[in-house]
This record gives sequence, structure tokens and C-alpha cells, in this order.
Amino acid sequence: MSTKTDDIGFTRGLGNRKRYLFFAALAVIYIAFSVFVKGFFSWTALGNILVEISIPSLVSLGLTFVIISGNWDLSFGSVAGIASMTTCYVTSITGNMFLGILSGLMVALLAGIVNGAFVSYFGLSDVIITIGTGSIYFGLSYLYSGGYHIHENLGDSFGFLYAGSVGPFPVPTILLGAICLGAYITFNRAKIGRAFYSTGLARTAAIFSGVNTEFCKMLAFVICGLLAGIGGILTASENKSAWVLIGQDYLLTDYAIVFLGWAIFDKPSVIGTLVGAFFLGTISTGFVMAGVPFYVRNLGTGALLLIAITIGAERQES
Amino acid sequence: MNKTHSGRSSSLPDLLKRYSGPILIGAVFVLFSVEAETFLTAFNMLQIVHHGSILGLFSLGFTVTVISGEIDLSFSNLGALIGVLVAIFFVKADFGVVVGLLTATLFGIGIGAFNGYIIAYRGCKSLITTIAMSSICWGVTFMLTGGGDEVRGMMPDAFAFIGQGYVGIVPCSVFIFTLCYLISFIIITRLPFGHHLYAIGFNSEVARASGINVRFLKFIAFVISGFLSSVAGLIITSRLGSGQPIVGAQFLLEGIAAAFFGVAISTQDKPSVLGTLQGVLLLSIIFNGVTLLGLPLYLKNIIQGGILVGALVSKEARTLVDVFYNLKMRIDKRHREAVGSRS
Repeated sequence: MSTKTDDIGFTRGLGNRKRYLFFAALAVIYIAFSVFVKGFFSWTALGNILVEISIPSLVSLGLTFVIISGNWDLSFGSVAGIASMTTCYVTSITGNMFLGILSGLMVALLAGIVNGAFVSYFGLSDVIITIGTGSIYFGLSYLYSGGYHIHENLGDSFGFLYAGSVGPFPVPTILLGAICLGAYITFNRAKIGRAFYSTGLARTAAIFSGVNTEFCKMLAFVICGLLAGIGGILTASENKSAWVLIGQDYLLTDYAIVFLGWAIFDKPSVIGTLVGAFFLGTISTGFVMAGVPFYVRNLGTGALLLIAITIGAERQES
Repeated sequence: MNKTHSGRSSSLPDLLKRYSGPILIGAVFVLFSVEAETFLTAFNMLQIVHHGSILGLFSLGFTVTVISGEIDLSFSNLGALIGVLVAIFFVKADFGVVVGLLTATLFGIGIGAFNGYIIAYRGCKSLITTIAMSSICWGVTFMLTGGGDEVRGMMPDAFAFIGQGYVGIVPCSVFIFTLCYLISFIIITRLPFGHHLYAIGFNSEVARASGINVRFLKFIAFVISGFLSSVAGLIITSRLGSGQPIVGAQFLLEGIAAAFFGVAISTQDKPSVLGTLQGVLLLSIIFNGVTLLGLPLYLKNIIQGGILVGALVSKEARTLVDVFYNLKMRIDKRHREAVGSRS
């Protein structure tokens, strides 16, 4: 499955107008929440949005890599789950947080490598393989505690990952900023970033231009796994415990974010993903502050995703 | 693919390959009969076919969309929504049996048609469209049930018959399941519709050029999927006697695994009605056996994933060797180039 977008000249014509439309919609939503929800229009709420979007942004940034290189990943939620379970398990047993995080990241890395190897070097169908491996990772994450929460003996510093701040900046936001900067430079200034795009757009052409497309796909899955792992560990830190279902609601949110960014900027990109995450974060924070039930948020996200892909598809045809 | 379709050779590997589905099912069946005491009882067999009929209906709809080259991930939540909807019709709105069933099924068909319209006529990607639709269905289900409570109350007897009654000695749900499989088997393998669907799945451009109405057929595939999922949802509600918002959702991975197991065991790499049927049987037997043996339930997920990955990998067993060969060739070539550029 290749992602068909027009890479060159995407800022011209309809694309520009549509982008303004999206930003206008964002402004309208923000103003509407400010008017109707008490306390939404404040620096605290804005800061909260920035902290809240950091985990979905990180995970969907990884997903962006995979989608740009022309594949789908349906297993990243389970990777986040198993990474957070590993981290908390090792931390609670050894009492060493860094060892725990390291092992969690190693598991995420391994999961990414397995996904990537199956899809790129063995040439198996990405959707089926990631559904299968995702199911396996999900089952394996039960092994640590039999499905119970792991929250004992994690230490006080474990919560620092999510709730702490260095100077005025919260830790997850710093992490997000650093990784986004890295990803932005990769895609816009580095050779490998162009290789990711060309792998996704026209694989045969990429091969004949000397791009190692297998390596690109592999790397995309590895990055996706790692970032999903970081997202899972941050979620565990936010709740000061890990449980097996941790990543199961990532799927919808993160696809919604990537596709919103895709619809706004006419191609999947780092900036698009960030804007999409902010868009969705604003809505979900507004809903939470307005006291709307959780299932309405899910409904709203799904509807938004449908609208975004319908608009995005129109652009592709025109 | 490195496959030769040179008639029906009867060498042992070929035979093993052609009958890998039945062999696997038989092996698993024998294994559980020996290991679990209560496996080979009439009651337990009934449990297996009850589970299998619901799973089979979900998986059949999914298979039809896969044949047309698309993918429908919304079937489980769609089934859950319809199941809850019909319970609400009967318990809260006092609908008649026929009216309630028809309205609920029409809702399911409508959602499937909406999926099909967006995907076939607006050119959206099916994977992401159906993920979004799945989430909308999930949200509506929870909204209708006020946050996930089951819908309990008196259901009409005629409705309870669907999930609990018997036609002769056959359970009614199994009767519906068999009927759906028979009809779809005839449609898919014997009628032009099925051949056109396969053509679209193989190459939709060629299919369009040869005069097949690609968009309409894809649309119909999603309508069929919506219909079969809603029938499965109705059976779940009728069998449990209450509208359960989360039961249907658990069939997602199972349904996908069953269909793709069918792809993996077919000799021609095609999704098919018969292949899916074998996948459904295998998974139903395995899950029943795992439960009977008292093994932890998360083993289900590992087995499901293992079947999917294992089936795909074994399918490409010959290419696996090719992969390493190609890698070696490429490394050798790089090495030669490097040496060449230096000299």
C-alpha cells in the first residue's frame, strides 16, 4: 500500500485555502470553548494542552515515519503496552528506574525490529503482520503480572518523567520538542528523510535512484516502535503504574492525528502531525473541562477523522 | 510468487499443502480430545459451534471486503452497536419482532453502505475509514447504553429463538451461519459477481478497463459486510438475552485471524469462503480447548497473533531463503563496487 500524495507543489492552489480553513476551524473551536467552558481561556489550560498532547504527538510522530515510508502499523499500541509493563516490572524488582526504562526501550526496539524485518526484508503484508505481532505483544505483556497493575516500589522519581519540569518547561514537552526537532531535521535537511518520502511515493523509482528502500521501511518501523515505547513509559509515569491496556486506545487517536496533519498539509509531515495533535488536544481538553463523557470524545474523534480523510481524499483526486 | 499451477500433482508436499487446513484442524481436535476430558461432549461441541457461528458471520463479511481488495475493520463494533440497538428497540421502544429486526439490520446495512460510499465513491483508504467508523460505532454504543451498561429486559420469544432455539436438531444460529456460508459460497465461486470481485481485488485498474463497475461492486462488498456483521450482532444479543456493548468488540482480532488464516492455507493466496470457514473452525476449537484446559486467557492473543504471523511466514517459506540469498547478493555487489571504485 503506497501513500499517494503529490509531494511537489503541494502548497499551491486549493491546498493553501484548505489549510486556512483548518486553522480557522481550530480558532473557532478554541474561541467556542473559551466562551462556553469556564477556565479554558487561560495560560494554565494552554499549558495543560501542551503537556497532554505530548504523548499522542510522540507516538503519532513514530507512526508518521511508517506512513511516510508507505506502510501501515497497527501494533504500536501493544508495543507501548509491553514497553511500559517491562519498564515498571524491572523498576519495581530492581528499584533502578534507569534500568527499567532502558529495558522497556530495548523491548520496544526489538518489537520494532521484528515488525520491520517481517515487512521490509520478508516482504509480508504490513497490515496482517502488524495485527498479528500486535496481538502477540499484547498477549506477552500479560506475562509480567498476569494482567494486574504494576505500581509497587516504583520510586518517587518515576513520576518525574511526566509530572516534573526543568525550569518552566515540563519534561514531556521538552522531550517532545527535542524529538520533533530531530524528526524535522531528518525529513527536511537530511538525505534519509527524502529517502523515506521517495520510498513511500514510488518504491520502484526509489530503488532505481539508489535508495535502500528495505532499510528505510525497517528504520521507520524501528523508530515507530521506539517512540511508541517512550509514549507507553510516559503514560505509565503519568499514572504511576502500568497495566496491559495502556496502549489500546492509541490506535484511533494517533491515526486521527496523522491523517488530520495529512489533510491540512496535503502530505504526512512532522509539522502536520504536531498541528493535528494540537487540534485534537484542544478538542479533547475542552471536552474534558466541559465534563463530556469519555465515549462522546471517542465519537467526536472518529467523526473528525472521517471528515479529515474525506477532505484529504478529495484533494488527491482533484 | 514461485508457484506452478501444473495440474494436480499428488506428491506429498503438495498434498500436505492443499489439505493443510483440514490436517491442522484435525490435529488440534485430536490433541484437545486427548488432553481435555470434557472436550468431546455434546454440550461442548454445541459451545464450539455457537461461538463459531458468530465468529464465522463476522469473518465472512470481512472476507468479502478483503476479496475486493479493501479491508473492513469496523465489523466488530458495528455488530456490537446493532446488538445493543435491537435490545433497545425491544426493551425500551416496544417494537414488534419483525419491525425491530428489520430496522436494526437496516441500520447495519446503512453503516456498511456509508463505509462503502466513502471508500468506493470518494476514494478514501478503507483501513483508516473503517477504523474511524469503528470508533464512531463504539461511541454511539456507549452513548446508547449510558456508558457501557448492558440493556436488560424482556425480549420477545421469537427473537430469543434466533440465538437459543433449534431448527430440528440444529441450533438456529448454526442454521443461519450455514445458510449465509452456502449462499456466499455460491455467489462468490459460481456467479459473475464473485469473479468480478476477485478481479477487482487482483487489479482494480484492469477490472475497470474490462468493463466491471469497480466502485459499485466495492460498495456492495461493504454493504454485505455490514449486513453479515449486524446479523452476528443480533445473534449475540439474542443468545445472551441482553444488549452487551463490549461482547461484539472482542471478535475483531479473531475475525481477522480466521480470514487471513484462510488466505494463508489456500494454494493460490486468495481469500475465500471455504478458507475462512476452516479458519473459523480452527480458531473456535483452539479457544474452546484453551479455556477447557484452564490455560491463561492471554494465550488466546498470543495464539491468534502466532497463527497470523506463522501462516504468512510459512506461506513465504521459499521466499525466506530467497531473502537471505538476495541479501547476500546485494552485500557481495556492494563489496565488488567498493573494490571496483577503489582500484
